[in-house]
Amino acid sequence: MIREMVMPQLAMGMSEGTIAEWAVAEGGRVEKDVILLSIETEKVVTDLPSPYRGYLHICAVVGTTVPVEQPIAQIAETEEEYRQLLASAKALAASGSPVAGMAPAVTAPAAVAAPAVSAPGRRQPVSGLAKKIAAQNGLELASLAGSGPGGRIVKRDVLAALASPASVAAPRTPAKAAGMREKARVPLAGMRKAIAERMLKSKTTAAHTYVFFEIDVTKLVAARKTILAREEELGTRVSMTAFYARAMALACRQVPIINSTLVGDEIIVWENVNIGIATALPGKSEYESGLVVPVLRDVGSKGVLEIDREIRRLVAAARDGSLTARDTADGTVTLSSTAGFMGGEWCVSTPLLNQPQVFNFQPGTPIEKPVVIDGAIVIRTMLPCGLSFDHRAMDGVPVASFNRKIADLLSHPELMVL
Amino acid sequence: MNAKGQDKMSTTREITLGDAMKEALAEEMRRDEDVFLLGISIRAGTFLYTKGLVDEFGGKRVIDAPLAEPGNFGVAYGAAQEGLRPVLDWMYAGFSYFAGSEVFLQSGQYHFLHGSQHPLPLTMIGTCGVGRRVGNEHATLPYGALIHHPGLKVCLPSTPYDAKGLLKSAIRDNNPVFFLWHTSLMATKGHVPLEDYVVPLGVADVKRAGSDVTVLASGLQLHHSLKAAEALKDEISVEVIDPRSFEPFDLDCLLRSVEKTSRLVIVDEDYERAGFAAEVCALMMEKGYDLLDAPVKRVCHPNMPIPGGYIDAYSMPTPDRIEAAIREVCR
Repeated sequence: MIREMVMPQLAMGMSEGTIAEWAVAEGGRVEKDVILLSIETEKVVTDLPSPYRGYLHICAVVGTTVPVEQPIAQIAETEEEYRQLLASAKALAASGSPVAGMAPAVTAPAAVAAPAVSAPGRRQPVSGLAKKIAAQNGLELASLAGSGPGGRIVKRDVLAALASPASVAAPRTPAKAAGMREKARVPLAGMRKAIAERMLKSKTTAAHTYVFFEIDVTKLVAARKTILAREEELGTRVSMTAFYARAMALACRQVPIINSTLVGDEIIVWENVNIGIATALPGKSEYESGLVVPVLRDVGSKGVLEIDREIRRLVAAARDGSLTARDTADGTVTLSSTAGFMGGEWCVSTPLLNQPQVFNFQPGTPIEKPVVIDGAIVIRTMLPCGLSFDHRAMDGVPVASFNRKIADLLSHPELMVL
Repeated sequence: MNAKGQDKMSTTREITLGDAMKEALAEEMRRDEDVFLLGISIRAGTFLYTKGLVDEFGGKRVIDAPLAEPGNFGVAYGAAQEGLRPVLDWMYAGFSYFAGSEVFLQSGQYHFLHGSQHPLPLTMIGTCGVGRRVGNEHATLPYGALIHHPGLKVCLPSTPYDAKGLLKSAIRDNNPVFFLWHTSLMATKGHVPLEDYVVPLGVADVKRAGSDVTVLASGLQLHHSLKAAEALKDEISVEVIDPRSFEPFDLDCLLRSVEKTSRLVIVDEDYERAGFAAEVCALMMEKGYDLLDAPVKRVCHPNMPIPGGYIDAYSMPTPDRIEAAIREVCR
């Protein structure tokens, strides 16, 4: 007997999974309850055991994203059945695989031809077996007449149609413009897919409003130099980001609406300031990039040194893949520094909100530039800043208050010891 | 295993299904002194399979009980809870309904409701089946109702070989098992080995191999189906499968067969509505939809009381009705 293995639903919210690895090659012998493959969902990679014993036909190759309850493999009980399975799979492959990345599954519902209608308004009855054989062979049922009771298309009708070559559907080949050469295909799966969905949802549901300004951080850079001179003693090279996080937490305390989330018809203003630190991850290939937002918890009660150590731990965990669910949960506001992105040039961008949060602060790279102070042109170190807020949750006044506060703190770092 | 239910064992003889049951009881009582029998008129043996057992095992292990079904059940149930292995004979399986709560709700679920801490090695025996003109409550086949309730194992043999093997499995099982037997098959003869053997619960048997249509039938209907298959042999190749037990049910065996034949007729002597045949239909829709080239056909007792007297020959599934159903799905 040939049995099907489907993408399991491992959690309530899981709607699809991506094949990360097959532990057994095509045609290999699999044992019941022994690990057969790994699947990747938005957050985790899970090993799955084989539900049956037999010979493996892989329907979804590594990298394919498959909706839950859809077939990912077929397991033939005997070698003979496996050979038959392979033969019918090849026949289907010749007519074009219906889903990108999906090898042909003999009973894959996606492979079934469109509902066959022999006369307007009347549904053509077809037996389950006839449907299956037609799908295996890429045969359009709409072209058939049924000889079974009530005009039902049954196995013999499909077999007869297959015997006359004219009725077999022409192979489907994907159209490709002349002269176009493909370099790579990157599946929109796993983290990429999660980011894609969340960014699109953010962009299309929040009322993003952007503000750009500069902060004079000359004194902060000088103060940091004093601290960096004590690097050995402190055991860390305190980053600018740690100061930004501290300043954000203090500013949020003054303007609490910044530190809130919008869910449904409610804005929840949070007592804890949990700052998500947007962290870039290297991609699996040169065409890919990644992003996670580990969360620095209760920043309001922490000093710069403690914040720095915590950020280093989170970033290291993000890069080696050891972040826990708690490390990425419960963020209330985001800090997404673009320092270094432009090799030290002035740059701001328009950050997207990390929903359900309503505020994303994006400091750039501090650079020396001429500014006017008291009627004279002087050289100061200026921090270009961009931010976005959700205009559904607040208006311009609190944002202006926040900006004044954070500018005050970062221009006069001594205030941060208070 | 061949169509007559023989294994590789060489030393066999032909005995009746009743004698096969009697051998099973006697051998299990010799094998384990915790096994005892309790039932109405079992010493004298209303049905012959208990007749004379009191001579070998004595009155303490072959107990005649009054016409008080809930009380009789209570004795067996308590004994099983205390670790004995009672075999409770209802005489007619339909009489077990007098102790409905005890049979349907308590016996099967006791083990689970007590945190899987306490096994309940209780065997119940009862006869059933249409065709003896004995009327509704003597003839009613309760397996559909029994398997609806979680925790009960239920079997019904069609041959002496299966009867002996299944009854031994039932007695050795640590769960409550309802062993049904068909009244019309008591005198049916068949080969039974002399050696000790069991027929495991949950393993179906292909009683006749074929390639065009699968017929699932048990008890007397297995024999009716074999007759129909034989009558059709020059036109349609019929595979006949005996589930032997309804719970656990060997769905894989059925799916393997339908994969080959693409057609299924289910013969069930029980009332048609919401019975075992309906359950198998649902399983086929869920697990075997695209194996089928035609709708599944049921041949059951109609949804009415089983009549007493000669008319029951017209209400029950017969070889003719089974043959017509086979022709219909093979159109």
